[in-house]
Amino acid sequence: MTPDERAVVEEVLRAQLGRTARWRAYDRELDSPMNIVLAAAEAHLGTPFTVYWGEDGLPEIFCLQGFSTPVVAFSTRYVELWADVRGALTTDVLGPELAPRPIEQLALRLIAEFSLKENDPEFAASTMLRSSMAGEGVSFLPNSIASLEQEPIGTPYMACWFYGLAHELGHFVGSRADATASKGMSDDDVLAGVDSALDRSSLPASVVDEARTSARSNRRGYILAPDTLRDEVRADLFATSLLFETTVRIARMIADAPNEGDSERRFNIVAFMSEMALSLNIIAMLERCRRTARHACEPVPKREHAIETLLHPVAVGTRLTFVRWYLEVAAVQYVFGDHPTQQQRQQVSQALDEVMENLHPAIEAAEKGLAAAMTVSLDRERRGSFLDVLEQWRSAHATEKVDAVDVIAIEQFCALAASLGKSSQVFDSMRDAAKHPSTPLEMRVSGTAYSCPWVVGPDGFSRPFGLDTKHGHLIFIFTHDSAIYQPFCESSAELLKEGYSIASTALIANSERELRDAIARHVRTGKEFRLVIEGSEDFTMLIEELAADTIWE
Amino acid sequence: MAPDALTVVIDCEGDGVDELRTALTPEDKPQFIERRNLSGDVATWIVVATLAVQSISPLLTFLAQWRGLTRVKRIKIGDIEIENPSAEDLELLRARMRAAVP
Repeated sequence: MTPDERAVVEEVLRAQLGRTARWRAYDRELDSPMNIVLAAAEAHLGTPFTVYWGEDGLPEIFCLQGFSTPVVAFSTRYVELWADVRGALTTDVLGPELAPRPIEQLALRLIAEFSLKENDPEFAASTMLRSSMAGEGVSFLPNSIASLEQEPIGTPYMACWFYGLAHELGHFVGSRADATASKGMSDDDVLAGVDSALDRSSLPASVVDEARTSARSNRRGYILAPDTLRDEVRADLFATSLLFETTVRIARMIADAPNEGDSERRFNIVAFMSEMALSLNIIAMLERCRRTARHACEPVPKREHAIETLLHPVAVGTRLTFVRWYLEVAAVQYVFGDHPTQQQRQQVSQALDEVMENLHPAIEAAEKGLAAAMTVSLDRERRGSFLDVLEQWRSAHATEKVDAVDVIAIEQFCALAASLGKSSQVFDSMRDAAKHPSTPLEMRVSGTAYSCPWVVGPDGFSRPFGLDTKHGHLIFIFTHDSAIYQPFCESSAELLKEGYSIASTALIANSERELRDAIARHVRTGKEFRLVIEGSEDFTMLIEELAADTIWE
Repeated sequence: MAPDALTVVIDCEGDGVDELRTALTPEDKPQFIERRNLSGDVATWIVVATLAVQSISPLLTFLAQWRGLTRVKRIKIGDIEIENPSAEDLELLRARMRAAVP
């Protein structure tokens, strides 16, 4: 790589991982498990690549092709989050009642962290605070990269540290697209996997039908299109086989070393199969949180993004079908050699069935916890404002000292926001509140102030007040010193159903677009509306129509 | 002294990159970088080019009028960075850059 090219790579990494993220090309001379994995990958790929090791940035593992040598960015934060999700999925200290709670808390934390990449600091900060309030007293301590470095080097260690990296390296196989790499992955094979995953899903029939049809159209970029899935399956199979090879090799090296005796480090084929299946479920959970964050922060969510969020578990389910097929073949060969009997094949197949069965309760608990977090995040009419959530958080901590773990998590979250160039008063406020929960809140904001009547009601219902008129659904916005704001609020309150009332909300925005986006994030997805801002000609005309009672259909 | 050329970085979703290729010439030394991750999403593209200051205005005009603009997630020109740029954002930037060119 030329110095010019390296400068471009660094420019790209800075944009992808955050301004203050630190990275370096990984030293391939180090005596480390990572270098064992990378050397094996290079031998299989037959091509050199550069791995950049990133710290203090967004949780991202990705590959870049188009430079003279391909690049993989490896974020230690992703490894920490992987370990957090794995811990929540594999704990056996909680019963089925309690197990979803820490997962909901963790999912909210992940959604908050992923949403920092989007443009909605209020949502990011509110979700982080909600995470701190969730769990009802049951929570897991987050992992740190320093502690993960001390874990025994066994199958969980290898998957946690290297599955994502190996998967990305597997994308370099895809570009060769030779016949061998595609064996058993024809369009029909992939579509059969999609059908099977759709059958297992609990999606509505209309969504399933649309998904089957769209998958068969093989539209470029569609999440269930055979071409899209084949690339991912190749990368998964590369990752699984690479980890199989290197985990066995490292286990043998440890077994040969003096002071061996640590059973956690010995290779166990069933544990390996279980870990690989678990890995895809960890990816599924991390990616659903990432997609939820994107969907929640989009002022007008794209339908294709919503569909992808819904179908992502199906895509992962399809990928798992192929990984299972590979594991069965590889495990039979590992245990029984090149010429296994039919009975021996069945034995391995049954072991895999049991692996999947054993994972089921954890996956079910994860689904419940994740569903709760997604509901809170995606219900725009119950999201409330950042100030509402901060007030709830302060009330929850009014009588007790804030847990040190919560304070550290909030500080780290705010530091990450700063590193991404996301400066907002909401991050300063939550950091101040975490340090001094009983100190009155002070917010310094810049921009134009507006007032908007807000409807509040049962179950946390909270959205801008709007009127269905012959001009469409209108949301009136007033200047902060408006003379007609109070009378408008009073008349509007009379139109509401019992149990609902009007509250006043202040909005600060630097442009009409910002104002519109802020309102859109509190209006149900798909609901079209028109913003009517005091001072505009529209506003004068429509207020006159409203006063004359001629605004209605 | 203002530089003669600036580095432009554009993050673009999916197949939007095909049309973007037509807006850049070999003199811009464009690099088209494909980015993939674990999600299973279609690859996104990062386009890096070095443009003469005079060439930036036409590029911004192309982007502002491009129907695929919603596929642009970020644009960085020199030290100025805009996320999810709108046509208005690009027009403003174009006016600002034109004013800066002697």
